[in-house]
Amino acid sequence: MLTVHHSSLKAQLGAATLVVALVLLLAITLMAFSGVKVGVNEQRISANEVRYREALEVAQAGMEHGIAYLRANKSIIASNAAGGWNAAASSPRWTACAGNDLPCGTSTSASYDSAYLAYRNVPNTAQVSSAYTYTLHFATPASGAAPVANPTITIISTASPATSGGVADPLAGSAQLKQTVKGYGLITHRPNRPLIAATTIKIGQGNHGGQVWPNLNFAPGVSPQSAWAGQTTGTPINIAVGAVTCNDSYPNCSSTISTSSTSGLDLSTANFPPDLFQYTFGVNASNYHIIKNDRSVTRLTTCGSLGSAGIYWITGDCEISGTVGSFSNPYVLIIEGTFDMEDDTTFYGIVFLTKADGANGSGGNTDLKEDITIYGALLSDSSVQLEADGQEISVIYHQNVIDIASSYGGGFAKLPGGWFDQLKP
Amino acid sequence: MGFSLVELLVSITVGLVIMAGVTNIYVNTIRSNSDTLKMTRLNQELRSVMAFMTRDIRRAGYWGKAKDSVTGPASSNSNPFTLSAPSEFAGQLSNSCLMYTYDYNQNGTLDNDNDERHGFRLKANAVQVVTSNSSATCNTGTWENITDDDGIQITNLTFTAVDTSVGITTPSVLTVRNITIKLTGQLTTDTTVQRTLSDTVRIANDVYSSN
Repeated sequence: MLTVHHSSLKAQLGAATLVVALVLLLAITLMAFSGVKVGVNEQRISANEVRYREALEVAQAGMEHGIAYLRANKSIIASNAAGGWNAAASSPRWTACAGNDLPCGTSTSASYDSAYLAYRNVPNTAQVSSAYTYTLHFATPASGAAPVANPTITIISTASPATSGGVADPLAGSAQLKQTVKGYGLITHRPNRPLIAATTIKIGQGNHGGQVWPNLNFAPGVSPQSAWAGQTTGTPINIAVGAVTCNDSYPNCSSTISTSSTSGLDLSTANFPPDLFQYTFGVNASNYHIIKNDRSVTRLTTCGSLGSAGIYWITGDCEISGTVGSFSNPYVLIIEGTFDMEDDTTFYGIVFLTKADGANGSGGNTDLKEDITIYGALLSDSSVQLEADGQEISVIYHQNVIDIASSYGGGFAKLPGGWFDQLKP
Repeated sequence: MGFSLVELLVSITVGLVIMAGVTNIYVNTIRSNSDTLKMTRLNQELRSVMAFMTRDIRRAGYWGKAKDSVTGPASSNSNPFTLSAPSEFAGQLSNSCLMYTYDYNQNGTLDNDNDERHGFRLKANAVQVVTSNSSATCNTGTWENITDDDGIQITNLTFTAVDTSVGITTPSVLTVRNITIKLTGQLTTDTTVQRTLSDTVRIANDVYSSN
């Protein structure tokens, strides 16, 4: 008979097997645990990376929203009027950078110090993620004054975990980046002469005097320029002697002025662009509708009902009289039909006579009567003739008028080299 | 009463068969566990190197004075921070080295500092990073390994630059830059354990040129 002693392990059958099995199991378990630990670590690392990427994408999306926001508010960013970002009573508004609140400097490194203005906590921006919230701040160089019409602005976008019930996801990541953008106007290439025409320019024929005041800053130290034409062969360029008014700041005037067959320093045909529309607006003439339908452009059939200063696309003929615009509120007129100025009319701004809209565009016919003054520039896709009935026609290049008119519309563009994912070193 | 010989033989045989099976399972478990560990380790190493490279390369060309490119005088309106075309350390795989700079301290000037002068290269089965505080090239300067050359061999590191030019008004050109990084590594102790990662970085700062 086999005697079984329940109380003695030694005597139990299979005890050795159990012990060996337990040891093996323990070894496997330990190994499995260490494997799992490594795996979990790996998961954590890659999850962190994913969260960082998510946060970065949200910050990037916020930055794009910031650019859209700036574009939508372009006309009031530099404005001193009520509601403008420079107006004392407006809120929010540009304020001088001080302290350590974003986007201004920290005690360790004041990247954005008192030389900058801050626009904080940009409102009304749509969030793009339920897990992350981005906040936007703008900074712009103060340079001793308020932002100009087309300012340089640095957008600072910070993405952080969204809070739900007052608690933020402790595992979510965060990211911060900045991008410097520059404002631009619908006119991307400012006219640099008072008269620009794709073919010929005729001024002051016979006894009728016209006068063109050149751009004195055209090329410092070289020469001022009055006119730029595309015609190099065929019809001779016809700028009559006396067309350009010499003044004391234009010493070379008398000796280098153009004649009816020779272009002088006051008129150039060099490097005339093949597509003046593209040169001026940055859009090929065949894509003129991009400009015509831009949100900053008002489309009218005539100039009879021009509103406040801005950009107007006139699909028919444009006839103006009296005083249109001012030095600080100039107009931009893009005209498909003819451009008529009645007697004693003064115009401030830029006129572009276009052929871009092929169906209608005559591009260039002008009927300028007596005592006409244009402060700014006159551009044409074909020719410009100031001699018709013209007496006392003045086309005066005025830098401020051109600058203001060129800042209308447009938006903000990222500056190459302006992106960084750290606010401060 | 004891076991008969036949009983004993049968039970030993059965026991051996069971033992063989158990041992097999045990060994396999250990092996797969160790494979998983090795793979995880390799993965981790490659992934962290890849993340490090992509994050940093994305910054290439940042310039603290970017606004000078449109408002500055002609003498100082070009960005001194660049991304060079991929090259290689002599004798290594081609295009296994990438040099670039960005304006870490945001002062607008390219300083002699390894915070601003960066580069990655493949050398002696390891990924290396520039540590020189002065101008370095793929062949010169001081470099340090950022992969564990004891446990892991990097067998392939390739940078491929894909530039897309966006035409603006002639002669201006905007270039959008992408760098595709391919990274292959294997375990030193078991070269059959291999892993290849590939990632593309869209360089955040485009290049504008007007000539």
